[in-house]
Amino acid sequence: MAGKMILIDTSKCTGCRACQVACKQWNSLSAVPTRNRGTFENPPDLGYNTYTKILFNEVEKDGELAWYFGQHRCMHCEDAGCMKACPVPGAITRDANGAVVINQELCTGCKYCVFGCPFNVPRYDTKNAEGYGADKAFKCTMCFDRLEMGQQPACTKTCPTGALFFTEKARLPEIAAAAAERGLTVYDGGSLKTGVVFLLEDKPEEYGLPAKPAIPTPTFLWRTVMKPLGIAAVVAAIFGVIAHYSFIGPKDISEGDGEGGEH
Amino acid sequence: MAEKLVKRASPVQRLSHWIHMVAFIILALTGLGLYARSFFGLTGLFGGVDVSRTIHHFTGIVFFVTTFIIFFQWAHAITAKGEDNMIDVARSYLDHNFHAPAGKLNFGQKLFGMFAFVVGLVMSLTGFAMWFPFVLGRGLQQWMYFLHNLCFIGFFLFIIVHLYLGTFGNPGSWRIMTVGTVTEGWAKAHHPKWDTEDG
Repeated sequence: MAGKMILIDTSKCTGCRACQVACKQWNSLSAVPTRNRGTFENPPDLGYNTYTKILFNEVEKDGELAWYFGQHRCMHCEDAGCMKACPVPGAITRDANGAVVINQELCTGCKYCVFGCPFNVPRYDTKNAEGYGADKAFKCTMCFDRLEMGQQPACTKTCPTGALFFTEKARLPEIAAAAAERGLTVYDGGSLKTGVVFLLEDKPEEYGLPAKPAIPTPTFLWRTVMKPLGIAAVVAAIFGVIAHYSFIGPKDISEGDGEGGEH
Repeated sequence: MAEKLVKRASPVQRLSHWIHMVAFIILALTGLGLYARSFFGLTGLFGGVDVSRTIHHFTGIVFFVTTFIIFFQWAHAITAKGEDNMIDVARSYLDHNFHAPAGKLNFGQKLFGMFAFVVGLVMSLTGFAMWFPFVLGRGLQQWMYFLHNLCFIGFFLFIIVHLYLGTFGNPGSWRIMTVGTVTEGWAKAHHPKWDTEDG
């Protein structure tokens, strides 16, 4: 797919969270009142009004403090768990740029996507949030509306250090080679082929990313395996019953009583 | 030639089964509409997704209750020790001259009774988990969706067989659901070891 990609070079991130602010501004998302929770991380979690959040991880490296900045946001997978889980036609779609977008006008609030996501991203809202009505799921849209106008997402546009970078997905091999020279590893979601790619200085877990990202096993079984299997089994059972009726026939006692009365 | 009739199902047993059956049909139709994109059109039968989901939830409670009522109505017969086994039962369905030495319920029916109870219970509990999905935690909740689906398919398969055997497959059986009695010949053939005096 000739999609676009948001590149996150964690070695360049300073934790300024301008991306969080730009995201809220463009998407008209309300603020979450700040409370001291003993961490620089703020707000506490993704939500209907928070599509992206910088994670602060303090670690000791060579006897000194090192700060790893991760970003929790929709990864825009090519093999998307939310889309697999969604039961409503058109409620979650992927556009030509690779942006996976929830259409709140169609979302029915079933919450399947919330549990189908490998990265724990979509958030469900019970209130009448942002004027969409109650009971909808929300997440990052890759600013698909900006992309349609030939612009880049608000977060990459605003990033002052170049940690967030918007480019063609096709450039990944060349970027990966350059990153390897700088000792960075590429995190692209493996088989999920995420549209958000991290360049990491350490293990994925240090940045709040699953080491082996995959669509949750029960979700895969539920959506991909059970449906065709179930339909096939039900059709087979119906044909089995028809076959029994046709070839063996009903067990009619009134006519079978005379000859088969061995009891 | 009025044949002697034997009582097989009480009014409570019949009524609870009718309610269970209607609840299942409503649950299956609303549930499929809520399950996948290809079945989404079914939600139109009930006036949309929100109505479908509400009907599904509250019909689920009816199904949950009748699962218990039916099981305890039949528990004595389901747990009774019989002389027949699954091979006898399978043979009796394939060879009409063979009659499995079954009591009030044959081995297959007992198995179905247990199965319907366990699956009804799992469907209900996983259904409640899906109704209130933020109680169990992510990892467990993901399995709830799968289990609900798995049990539905299992139950649906058994229902196809159950419906056939209770109607076209065994003439004289459907009246158990309507008037609750069977002919003495039916009882002797299908359940030779059933003490009809004892119920």
